[in-house]
Amino acid sequence: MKSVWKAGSFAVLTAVVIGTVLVACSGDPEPTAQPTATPEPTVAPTSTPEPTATPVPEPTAVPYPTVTGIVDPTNRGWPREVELADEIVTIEEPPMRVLAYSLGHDEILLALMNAERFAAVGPFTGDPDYSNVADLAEGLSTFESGVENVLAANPDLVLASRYTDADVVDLIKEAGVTVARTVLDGSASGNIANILLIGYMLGVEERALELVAEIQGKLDFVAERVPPLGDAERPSVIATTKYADSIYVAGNDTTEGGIVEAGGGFNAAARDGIVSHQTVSIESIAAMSPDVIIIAQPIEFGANEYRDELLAHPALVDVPAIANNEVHVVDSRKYTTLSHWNVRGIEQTALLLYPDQFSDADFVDFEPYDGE
Amino acid sequence: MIRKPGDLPDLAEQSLFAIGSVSGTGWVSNENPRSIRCNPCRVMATGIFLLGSASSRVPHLRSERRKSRAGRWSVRRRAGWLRAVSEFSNTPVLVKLGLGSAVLAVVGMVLVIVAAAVGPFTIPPSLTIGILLEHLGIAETTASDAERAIITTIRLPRILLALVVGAALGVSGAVMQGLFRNPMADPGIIGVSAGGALGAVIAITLGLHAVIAFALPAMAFAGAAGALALVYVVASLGGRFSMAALLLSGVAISAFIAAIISAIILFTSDLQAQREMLFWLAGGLGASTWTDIRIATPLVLLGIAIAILLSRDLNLLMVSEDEAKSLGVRVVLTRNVLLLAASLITGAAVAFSGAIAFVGLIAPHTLRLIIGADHRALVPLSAIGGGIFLLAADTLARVAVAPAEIPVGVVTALVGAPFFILLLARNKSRASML
Repeated sequence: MKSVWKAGSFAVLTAVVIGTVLVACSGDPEPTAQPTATPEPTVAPTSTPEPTATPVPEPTAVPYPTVTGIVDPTNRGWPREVELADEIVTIEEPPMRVLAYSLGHDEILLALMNAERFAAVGPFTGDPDYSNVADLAEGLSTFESGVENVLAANPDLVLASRYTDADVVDLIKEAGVTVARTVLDGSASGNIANILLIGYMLGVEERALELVAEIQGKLDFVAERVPPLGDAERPSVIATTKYADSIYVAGNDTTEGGIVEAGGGFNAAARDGIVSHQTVSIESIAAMSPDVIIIAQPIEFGANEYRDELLAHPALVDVPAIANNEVHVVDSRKYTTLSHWNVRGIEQTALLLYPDQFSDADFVDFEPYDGE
Repeated sequence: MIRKPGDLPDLAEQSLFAIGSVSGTGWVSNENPRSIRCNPCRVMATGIFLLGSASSRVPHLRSERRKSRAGRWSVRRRAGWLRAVSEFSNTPVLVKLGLGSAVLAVVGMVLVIVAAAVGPFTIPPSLTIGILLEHLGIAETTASDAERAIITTIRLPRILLALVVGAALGVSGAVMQGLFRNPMADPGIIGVSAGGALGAVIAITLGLHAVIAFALPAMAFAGAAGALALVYVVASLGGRFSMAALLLSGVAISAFIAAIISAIILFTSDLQAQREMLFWLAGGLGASTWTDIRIATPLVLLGIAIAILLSRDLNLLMVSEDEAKSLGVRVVLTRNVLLLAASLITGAAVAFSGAIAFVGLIAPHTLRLIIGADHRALVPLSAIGGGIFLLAADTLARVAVAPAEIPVGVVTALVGAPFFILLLARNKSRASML
C-alpha cells in the first residue's frame, strides 16, 4: 500500500513537472521573467524524437521530459546520447567519476548525486565565500586548472562550461575522456532544462525530477505572492558591487537582473540601458534613483564599506534608496551563481521588496542529496 | 659646410629628421653650431607631418607625385597648409608660446565647462556654471545639495585630475621623445610606467592600501622611481652609458617587470586582491578625489617646471650630445635631471590614474605638427595639450554610453592608434627609420 502511494505521488509530481516544462516551452513568458542571457531555450519544442541506432531498453514507467540536448528521452538505458554544441556525445555507462569546470555545475551535481561519484570538484566549490555547497564539498578532492590536473583526477565524464577553452576540451577528449559542454543559463529561471539534461547524463533522472519540482515550487510560491504591478509601480532596484575603485551595476541579461525582476522589482539599470555588468559612477546611481539598492558582494570583499559609502555620499541624498535606508547587503552567492541556487536569491529579493506578503514565509535552502 | 636635410644619410640626422627637428624650409649649418642657439626656431622646427613636405624634394617621390593631377592638387593643397604651419613654426618662440597657450586655454576652458555640464545626472548648463561660480565664491545658486555634490565632489575633481594627469603624460612624452630622439618614445619605454604598476600591485598584494592611506599611490611612485634607477644602473654597466643602452635596458626591464606583475597576479590566492590589481592596471579616473589632486598637482607641477627650465638644453641635446657639450650644456646632469623629472611626473600620474596609453604620444606629436619641435614651446604646450586631450577622452568615456562608462584608456587608444597609422601612412619614407 505504501509503495503504491509512493508511486502515485511520484507520478503526480512528474506530471506537474512535465506540464510546467511544456507550458514553459510553449512561448508564454513568465510575468516577472527577465529576458534570458543565453539564447538557448530552456526546453525544446515537443516533437517525436529521432530514433537512434543505440540499443533501446524498455522505457520505465516514468517518462522523461523532452529537453534540448537529449537525443532520445525514451532511452533510459546505456549507452545514451546527448547532442551538445552540434555534437553527439555518447555516454557508454553511468559516469562514476565526474568532474565539472564551473561552480554552477558542481552545485547542480552535488544536488543530484552523492559525493563518491566526483572525480574532483573545482577550486571554488569548497570556498564558502563563493559556493552555496561548500559544506557538502568538504573532504572532496579539488582540481586546479590545466589539462594535466584534470586528467590526473581520472574522470570518466567532464562537464565543460561555456568558458572552457575549445583546445582544452579537445585535449581531454584525445585522452579518451567523455566531455560534455553544458551551458548553464544565467537568467535566474532555475536552470531546469540543464538539471534535467545533466540528470539524464548521470542516470539520475528521478532525482533530477525531484529537484526540478522543488525549484518550480519555490518559483511558483514567489510568483503567486508578488503583487501583479506594472513597471512603474514596482520598486525600482539596482544590484551593484564595488571592487577596487570600480562600481558595477547589473543590467539586462544578468543573473542579478533576472533575480530582481523575478523577485518583483524593476531593474533600474536595465531601464536606463545597461546591458550585462557595466562600470558606472556614483553619479549614474544618482541618475538611476532606485528605490532599493542591493549589494551582491561578499562582506569580506568590502560590501559593508561600500554600503556605508553609498549611504554617506552627498550626491545621493535625494535617492529614495538612500533616504529610506533601503541599501541591503545580500548573500552574494545566491545572486551570482548560475545554478538553481539563484532561486534562493529570488526569495531573498522578494522578502526585501514585499516583507508584508512574505512575512509568514519560511524560506529554506535546497534539500541536499540523500540518495544511495 | 651647408647641407640640405634631404641630402644627409647619417643616422644622427635621420633621427633628427624623424622627430621633426629639422625645418622643412631651413638649413643646418655644421660649421657654426651656435647658429642653432641663435635661431633655434629655424633649426628645431616642424614635425613629422611637415617633414612629409620636405620629403617631396626627394626625386623619386617627386616623380611619383607628378603622375596624376590629383596628386599635384593634393601636394599644392598640402603645401599651402604646410606653408602656413611652417611659417608659424618659424615665428619667435615667445609668440608661439603665447598664441598657443591662449588658444589652448580657451579650448581648455570650454572643455572644462562642457565636461562639468554633461553626465548621466542631468544638470542644466546654466546651473552647472552657477555651481562652478558658487564653488569659486563668486555667485550663489538655487541648486540642490545633490546637484552641488555631483558637480563639486564627482565631476570637478575628475576634470582637474584629468588635466593634471594629461599634462604629466604630455610633458613626459615630449621630454622622452626629445631625449631619445625617437618619435615613439613615451614614459613606458624606460620602464617607468611598468615600475609604477609593480608598486601598485605590491601594495594591493600586501594589503597596504587597505590600512595606510595613500599607500597605493606612494608605492606606485616608488615603483616608478625604482624602475628608473634600475634601468639607469643597467644602462651604465661596464662604465659606458648611452641613450641607446638606456633604451634597450628600459625595454628589457619593462618586460621583466611585466613578467613579475603577471606572476604576482597569477599566484595571488586572494581573489579580491587579484581583481583589484586588474582593475587598477586597466587605468581610469573614475575615483578621483580632491585629495588625489592635492597630492598629484605639486609633484606634476614641479616636474613640468624642471622640464620647462631645461627645454632649451633639451633642444641642443636633441641635435647631438657632442654639440650640446660644445655649447656649454652639462650633458650628463641635464639628461639625468630631465629623466628624473619625466619619471617624477609619470609616477605621480600613474599613481592616481593607472596606466593610460597614447597621451604622451598624441599630445606632443600633434603640437609638433603645428608649432615645430622647439621644446621651449613644445614642453609647456604639451602640458596644456595633454591635459585637454585626456579631459576630452575622459568626458567621452563618461558620456558615450552613459550611464555606463568606457575605460578612458580605451578611448585614448581608439584615438591614438588611428592617429599613428595616419602619421605612418603620410610618412612612409620615414617609416623605415622609426
